[in-house]
Amino acid sequence: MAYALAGGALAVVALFTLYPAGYALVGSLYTLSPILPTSFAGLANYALIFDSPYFGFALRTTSVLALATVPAVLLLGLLVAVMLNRPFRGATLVKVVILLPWTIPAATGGVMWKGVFADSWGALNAVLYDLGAVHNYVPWLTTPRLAFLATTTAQIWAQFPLAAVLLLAAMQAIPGELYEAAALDGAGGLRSFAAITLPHLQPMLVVVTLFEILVALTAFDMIFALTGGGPGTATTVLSYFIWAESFKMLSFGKGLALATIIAGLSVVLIAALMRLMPREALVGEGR
Amino acid sequence: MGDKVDNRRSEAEWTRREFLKLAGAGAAFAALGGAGVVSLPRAVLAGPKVINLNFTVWSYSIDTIQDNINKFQTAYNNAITVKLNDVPWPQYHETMVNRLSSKTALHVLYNGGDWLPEFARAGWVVPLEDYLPRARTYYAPKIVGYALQDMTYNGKMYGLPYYADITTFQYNAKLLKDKGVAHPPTTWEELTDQAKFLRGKGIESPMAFEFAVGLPTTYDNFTAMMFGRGGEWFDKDLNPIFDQPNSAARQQLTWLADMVKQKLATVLPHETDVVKAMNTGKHVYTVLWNYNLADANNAAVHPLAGQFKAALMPGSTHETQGQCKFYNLTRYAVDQGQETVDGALKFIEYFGGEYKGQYAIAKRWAVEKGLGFGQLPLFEDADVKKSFGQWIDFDMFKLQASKARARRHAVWEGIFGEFARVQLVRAISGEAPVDETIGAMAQKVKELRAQFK
Repeated sequence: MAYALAGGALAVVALFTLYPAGYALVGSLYTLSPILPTSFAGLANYALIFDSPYFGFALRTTSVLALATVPAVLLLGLLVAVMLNRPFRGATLVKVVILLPWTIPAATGGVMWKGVFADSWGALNAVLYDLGAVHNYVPWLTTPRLAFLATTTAQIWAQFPLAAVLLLAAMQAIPGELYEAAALDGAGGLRSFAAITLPHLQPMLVVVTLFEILVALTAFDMIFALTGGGPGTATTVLSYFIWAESFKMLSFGKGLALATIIAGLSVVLIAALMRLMPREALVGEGR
Repeated sequence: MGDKVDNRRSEAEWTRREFLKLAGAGAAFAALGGAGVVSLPRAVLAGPKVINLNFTVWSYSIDTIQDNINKFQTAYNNAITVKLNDVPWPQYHETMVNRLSSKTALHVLYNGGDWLPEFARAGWVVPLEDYLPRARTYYAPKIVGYALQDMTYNGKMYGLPYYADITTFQYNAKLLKDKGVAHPPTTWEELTDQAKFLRGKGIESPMAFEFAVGLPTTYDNFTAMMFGRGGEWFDKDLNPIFDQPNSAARQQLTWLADMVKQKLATVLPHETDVVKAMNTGKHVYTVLWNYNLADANNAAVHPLAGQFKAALMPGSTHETQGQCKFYNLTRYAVDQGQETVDGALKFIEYFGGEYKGQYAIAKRWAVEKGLGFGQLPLFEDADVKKSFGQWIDFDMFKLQASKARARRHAVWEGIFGEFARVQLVRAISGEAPVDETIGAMAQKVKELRAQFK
């Protein structure tokens, strides 16, 4: 019976994870294009990727995006969670509203942010112009650095609500007696936060960090809708690069090779992070 | 009266035996009748056969296209029905590649010169002249050169024009005159001088461009500007010449990057943005597909309508790019049989050719939307002249059209175009030096030529 149950689970994993991964791995060794005959290419797709400067650009852009968004999402999420953890009138409504950005599909969010950052008709330029802060519209989406800033802002906006809700849930599971005891011992709010809240949040912080790193590594739809990877390649992250190679350059073999590389990078990165984390942070022991 | 009453029986009065008798008789009658029906010829049984076509376009004026389809269906008494599918313009190429390669039911589609070699080589689309010989004998002599070139691959004509347009240099004539500039620039360098002069007169960014990585038009706009200098991407054997040290492409890209760097030019992501920006009075010059001038001069929509004119493309030759988008018959349609092909040909001819002696649909696009046309008779059509005359000097339009040419198309141009526009935007936005981007494009051509040899 146990084997049957385990077998079922394994079959699902095999169907939805192992088969696609295997298919990608094998496909990455072929010239696969709708307009060329299929042929075995060996490691040529990988060689082309590593020879291309655009892989380096995309890797760097993805890394910078992750470095910019993950800490910001964690900090903002933590701040919001702390604020929402205190009872106040309308707290439930605020929690629902806070979660809204996360519930909006990323592509829709991208279009909304385009409405904010668009150079000639965007809301931000309109506000800045009305306030007299600018005399001409700021080219948010057609200047490389500004476009990256816009993308980062949109990504943080989309991701922080989930972090906030997860951290809030973890906070609400902390026994109130601990805070009462700390207060009796004369601990203030900051001291209680550092000595009680943060240690109890560690496992959830690890989960949220890993999740947000994966989200940053696979960010696509928001960027597709907001900047289309541009201007130039300023916001071309790895996932967008896969899409562009596969569907713009019609080189599915190269796209699969890229996907394989990114999957490998993700596994290595997550394994390294989990190794670096203290064990108690992962399993919640030692409290 | 009494007899009628006597003979009438309600259902309640039917006996079981009578009911069964009647049912048996009915069943026997139905069986006999059914046999008779089966024995009838199929054509009599089915009535007139309806041909169903799928027509795929990019998303532009869908209401007008649907109205044209309705008119076509009515003209053929609904014996041919057409289902319209639209795909966003920025994603058209890759979407069609995937649909066509996966043998999606598609009978007629919009195609363009840049994608024709790729689609034709893959066998997804077929030459129109093989199925409609008068496409070559009757229509081709009546089609403007750049349009015919865009519809031709390996010497075969693949379609009839949906529209054929030129890219024009457009400027705000009133603003230019008000600021004390007597005439529009004739070279790109003169434009720089005028732009600097205009900045001194309060126009901070005199030029507005449409350049975005997601838009095929980016490649078109740059090509048209480069053509003004007499340049080309490739030689007749499709070897790259844009990467030569002093090529027109290199000169033009350097010029563009400098203009943006000096903030004499503003880059906008879509032609509609450019038209709106031009109507703020903050910009004087732009380069766009010509139909945008009709929009810019539309008084019902834009505040500065009437102030915009076209001039010859700056440069040494004043050439520009002409192009054609056309109705293309698919291999899928051919595989469905002669009746489907006949229906699709009627549809293509109604839309891109003559129907009752009129190029009705092409004319409608020209008159209502300002779209250019490939059919030479329309250059002399009184209605078209009158309509175009409301927003462009028609003689200037004809003069620029006479200096228009199509690009040379390689089988891999669809892919190269996608790559090139990213590089163009990288250079223009200052993300990478011009030489680096030109080098990257040349390297891509090398790769593609090796792949497609």
